[in-house]
Amino acid sequence: MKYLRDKIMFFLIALLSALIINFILPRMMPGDPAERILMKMGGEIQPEAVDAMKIALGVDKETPLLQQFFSYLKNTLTFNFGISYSYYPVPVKDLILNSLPWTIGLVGISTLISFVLGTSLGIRAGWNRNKPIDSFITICSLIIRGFPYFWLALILLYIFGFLLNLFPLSNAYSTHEFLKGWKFFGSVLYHGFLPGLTLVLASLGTWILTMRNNMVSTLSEDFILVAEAKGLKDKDIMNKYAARNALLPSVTSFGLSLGYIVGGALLTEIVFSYPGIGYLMYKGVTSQDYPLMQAIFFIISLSVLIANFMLDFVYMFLDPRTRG
Amino acid sequence: MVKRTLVILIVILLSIFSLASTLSMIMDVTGPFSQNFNPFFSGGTNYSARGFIYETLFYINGYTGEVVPWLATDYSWSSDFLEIDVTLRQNVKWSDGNNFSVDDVIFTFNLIKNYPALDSGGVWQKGLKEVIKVDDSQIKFVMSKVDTLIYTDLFSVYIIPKHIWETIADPTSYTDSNPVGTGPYVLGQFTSQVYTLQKNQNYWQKEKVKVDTIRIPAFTGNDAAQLALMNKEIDWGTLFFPNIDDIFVKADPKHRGYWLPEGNPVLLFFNLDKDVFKNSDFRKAIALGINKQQLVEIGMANLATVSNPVGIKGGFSYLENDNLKSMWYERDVEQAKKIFTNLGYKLGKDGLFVDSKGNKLSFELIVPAGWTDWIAVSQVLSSQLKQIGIDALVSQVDFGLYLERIKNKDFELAVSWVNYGINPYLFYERWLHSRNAFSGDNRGGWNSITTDSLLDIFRKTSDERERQLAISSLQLIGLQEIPSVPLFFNPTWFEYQTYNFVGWPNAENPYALPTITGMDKAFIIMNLEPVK
Repeated sequence: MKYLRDKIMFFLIALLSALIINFILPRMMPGDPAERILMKMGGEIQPEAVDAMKIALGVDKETPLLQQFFSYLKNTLTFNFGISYSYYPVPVKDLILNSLPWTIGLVGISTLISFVLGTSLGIRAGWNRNKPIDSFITICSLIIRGFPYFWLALILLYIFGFLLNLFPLSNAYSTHEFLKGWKFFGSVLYHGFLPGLTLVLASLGTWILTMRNNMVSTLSEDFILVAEAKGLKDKDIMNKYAARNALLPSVTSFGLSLGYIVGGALLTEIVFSYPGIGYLMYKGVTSQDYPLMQAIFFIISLSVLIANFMLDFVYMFLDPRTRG
Repeated sequence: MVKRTLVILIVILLSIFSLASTLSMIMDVTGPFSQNFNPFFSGGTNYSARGFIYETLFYINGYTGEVVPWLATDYSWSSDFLEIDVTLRQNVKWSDGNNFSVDDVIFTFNLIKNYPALDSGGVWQKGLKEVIKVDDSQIKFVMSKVDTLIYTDLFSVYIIPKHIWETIADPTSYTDSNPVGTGPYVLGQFTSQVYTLQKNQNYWQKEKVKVDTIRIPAFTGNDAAQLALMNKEIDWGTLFFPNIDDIFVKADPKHRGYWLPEGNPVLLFFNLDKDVFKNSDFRKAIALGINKQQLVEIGMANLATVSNPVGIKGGFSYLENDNLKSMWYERDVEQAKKIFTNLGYKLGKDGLFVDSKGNKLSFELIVPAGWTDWIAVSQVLSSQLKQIGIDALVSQVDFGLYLERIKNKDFELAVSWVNYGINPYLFYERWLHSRNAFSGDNRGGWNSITTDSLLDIFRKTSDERERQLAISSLQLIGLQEIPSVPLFFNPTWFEYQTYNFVGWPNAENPYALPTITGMDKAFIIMNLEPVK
């Protein structure tokens, strides 16, 4: 029980620190939100519009920092994120609800596929260490990992989207007609394929290499030798003895990457013009949109912390030693 | 799966080819849409409300400055310039069928008076005192002080329907998701990835609208948007597009074109609060070190227009004072060096001038981080200045910090811009009036009573001759004193293809400015014809 209590305390302290940092950091940015938003383009906007915008955003008057902090705490904990500056007067909640499902769908599914695929390939490679199949998998994953993934995305978009015309160039579903039901679902899958492929390829190499290296070091442990001496089947040793132990570090990174899913994938979103939280966050930061930035950072910290918290339980289940 | 993919592919290809009466355009590359059509705020969807859905009293042509009757048919000044009478058009209807009336106009102006957050033209601050209903077709604007240029702001306010907006509790947080306007279009279908505008069947000049539907897809990044343009999925683009000739036009010169009219001027500003820049000969010498043609060729990929030393755009060349043209300066390295020597600076061994205390003439030149074209311009500028013995160190600064440092006079040299406005009078006012020093577009902080009194003439008279005399004297100040150095005009990005529609504005037929933020786009769309 002590284990559980410690973990809950840690969770609460970490959450509070995240909340405080989340409040302070954006306010250390130099400049003025109204100007950032309106002058972005070298200004087709009249100077008078900046004054009007300042009044609308409420940044024409100084509010004491402490007062800002308490209203921020109250609003954040009640999930009332206020009105966005850069998409004024759209509520931040609506913006996030517009983007978050797409991000979770795209990044979530690709992370899962990449983890399952990468880990099982890693197990294979580690088991057959120093054989041709191992070298092949390892070299391939090193090469894939070496690609900057936005560049990979650009190449895929250019070849399969533009030259061969096999996949759409942009957006999350057809923008030529307003589809419903299964047709809409099909269109979403079709549009999500290339961005998804990019994300899977981008992280596959890391999963493979982590798992392979863990496998190799686990296989040199004494209990594996014992298991072999006992005459157990290779398949059992590989899956039940070696892989289960080697999996722990990979599960940790997987848990963490689940938490980071809500952070989106900025460059993929930009290349494929895919709606998602990554772009929203970028937009929030570049236009000093405090409400939007704070809401997204809060959601990210919350989900990373929750993922961590859950992970501790999974650990209790996977590794009896932590139950101590 | 393969079969389904093929089916979807065919459906999509078919839909592309059946779009004949639909015009596709890129409004703004700002990610997924929110259903926000409040015309008093800025942003992609808000821009489409301005002009397509809501309209102004007059359309002020962004290229020629011409005042075209729109929701109003006529206006006249009183002799003391304190009142404007405006006659409204009859038989205009809102898209929900209600009649447009004098009350709507008065309601709109009172709304932006009560909510200054909506007054983006600042008309009530500039001296509007009252808006009075004269009769069912006439209104009178009453001003508290003489300002003969205020009409440009009054006539640019988007008129909204009283019967809908009077029920809104807080119009400053109203997203206006189902807008009712007088304009050529109404909102069709809306999703966060694409929306359509349908022709308004109640429109008062319906016969001029030949584009039935406007399709506006969402783009998050430039890459996909450029490919969509290349793929003929977009008729009207407003994209930043380097190498536009080689990549876009060359593939089909018959159907593709672009026009990059002069946008806002970009200038080299001196911080006039620093002693070294207070000497006009010193500023003159630096100006003589600049080769503007080269800045544009290398830094702007030759897609910008070089500015003359007085900053007057091609469309207004009649305002240039011909007698002063002998003073227009060009790059002259020897002359620049001579001026520095006369001022008492000595040329060091490394080719840089030093002052009497032995300090090098070395300055920081700030430019917004990430603005790649301007950064390139600054680097070329820096190497040009080195040749006259000045060390200008290019420093990329986060945009927010950049604006703040200029405001706080915490800079030496800056590459920056001035909002031109609809005519050179407004440009000169923003550039040189002391009330805009540092905090406004007068970024170098030029402060001179003579200049201010010349600038004030623009708003005190409606006599074009008097204004021209004033702007001539101001040109002389610009050439003698060199408060800052006009370099070039930023391009206004506009690409078009004629597969589906013809009649686009371009350099040969510059009938309107192809910007998407205001009324110009509505005027352009009424000049387009579908291809049969």
